[in-house]
Amino acid sequence: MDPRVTLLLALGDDELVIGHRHSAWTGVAPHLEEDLAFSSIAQDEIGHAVVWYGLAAELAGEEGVRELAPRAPDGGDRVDALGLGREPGGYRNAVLVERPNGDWGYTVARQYLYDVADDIRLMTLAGSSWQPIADATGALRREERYHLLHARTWVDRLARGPVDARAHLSGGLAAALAEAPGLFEAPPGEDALLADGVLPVAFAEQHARWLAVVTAELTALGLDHVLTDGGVHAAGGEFVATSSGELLAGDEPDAAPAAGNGGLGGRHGRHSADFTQVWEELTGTYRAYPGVRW
Amino acid sequence: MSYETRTAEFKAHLAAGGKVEATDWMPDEYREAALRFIEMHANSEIMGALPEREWIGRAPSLRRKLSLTAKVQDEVGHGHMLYRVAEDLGKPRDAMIADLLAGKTKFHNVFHYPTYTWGDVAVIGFLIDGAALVTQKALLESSYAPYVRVLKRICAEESLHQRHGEDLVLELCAGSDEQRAMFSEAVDRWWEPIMHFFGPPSKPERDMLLAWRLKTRTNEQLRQRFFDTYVPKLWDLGIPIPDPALEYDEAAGEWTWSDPDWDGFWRVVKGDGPMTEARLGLRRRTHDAHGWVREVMNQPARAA
Repeated sequence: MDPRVTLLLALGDDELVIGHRHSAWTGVAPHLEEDLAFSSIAQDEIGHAVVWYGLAAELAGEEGVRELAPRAPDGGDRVDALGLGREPGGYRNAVLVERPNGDWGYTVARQYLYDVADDIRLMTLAGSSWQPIADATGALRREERYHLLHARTWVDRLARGPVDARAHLSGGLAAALAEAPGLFEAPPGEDALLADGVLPVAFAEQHARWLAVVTAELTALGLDHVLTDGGVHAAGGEFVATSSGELLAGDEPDAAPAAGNGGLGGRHGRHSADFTQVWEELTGTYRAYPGVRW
Repeated sequence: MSYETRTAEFKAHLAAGGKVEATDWMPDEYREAALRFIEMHANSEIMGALPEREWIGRAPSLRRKLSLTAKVQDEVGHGHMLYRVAEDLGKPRDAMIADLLAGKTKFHNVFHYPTYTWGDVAVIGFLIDGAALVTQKALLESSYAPYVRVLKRICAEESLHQRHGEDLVLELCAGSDEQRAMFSEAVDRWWEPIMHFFGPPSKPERDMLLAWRLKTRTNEQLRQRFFDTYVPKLWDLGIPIPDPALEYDEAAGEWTWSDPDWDGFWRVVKGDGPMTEARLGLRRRTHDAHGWVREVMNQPARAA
């Protein structure tokens, strides 16, 4: 498989799966204003997934799409085939985005860490030697600006809020930080992408840039302890996988559990049990009526 | 000027087609009636988001997932705008949400039912939104001006929803046998709730909402208008309607129809519908779980 297709699927799958999780807040967010805001973010992310899948489908061609999504109907929509027609092991999203929404503290923490990562990823890809991917980043970044504004507003507000709010946020950040390294796990074929400039900066280096941003921002809010709780050694800019899920013992029971391995594996199609639930819901109707046009 | 004289002048103003602004003097009875009516409308928008929300995660294509999410978001947005209109009549939003969750205030009958397939999404988008559009367009003649201004925007969005619903229906009816059956079965399930939607034929002289010109059309006028538009469309599509008595009476110039189970209607009105408790329960759980977030919003930020 063309490594560009693998990269595009990783990007699209992150956006689709986090968009799917975000969309579940529509109608039940903490208050009506947030219902509206978060639903817009969900729609943007799903829309971005469609952009990435569109490029992947074009590149892979009919044969390639069939190989990736053998159960998708012939002659059907290729973007849907990629988005909804693959087996679970064919999805390359990071484990972090497949976790349940948990409480609002976790949701805000994950959205923040993810959107800072996405920002760095898009800035990187804006310099890609492959023009279609560089061109796509422009429209996406215009929308992502607002996602970042939303995430930073909430993180800032909860960090300054009553003790209870700070605790919810800290718990969410520690849990999400523990699995955030998965966002920067290199997809198969990264070497080739680096060699011809499709990917101007390696994921390991993007990871370091992301860490510098979140460390500075969280420290400024007096939240540096969550970096340690989340298994991040801020000084060295290095992640140390937590040995067990124990660090979450005192947290909300519905916060996502730490995988203990930095949330890695997703780029290779290895997912947590939570992904099975996402996959069944996300693709269930599509799979139940093969060959049908919707 | 006595209260009675002012009320008489107010009624004369309404009878002459006059409108009422939030800052105008109004009789307590008018304020009360307007608040209760708009509050229930707002409740219905946010509760009405829930049945369709059940299918956002399960939409059959990415395009449909996006459009359904946006549509449900619009409904919540309508609730948001309507609560603001209701608030100006003197009841804070928190109190309205608390009363809804406590079962003290109601939401529309049609949102107390389960969804089983994508066919239900099509029926809600086409027929339920169609019925709502008929009702809401008629409310553009309401005497309460702030409500009318918000309804103009709601009707514009609902027209789009209705086209969205029609698109879903055409797709199912032109699709596989399974898709067609999916829609037809959903019409069977929803026809009675739709008849309930317009309420039983009422005596206009006893309807205070009509007296205050908050509404200008009777239940039956709206039901007939719905039939005018939607029955021929369903017939064109070859989708049977589960009412053998439904036909247009040329001589009388109106549709005849069979009474649905009105006892069932009153059960739902009293809050005993098939999904009343489940939907309110979901809202109560998410509301309770977010008490700490609302507390944050109600407090000044401290230095980090």
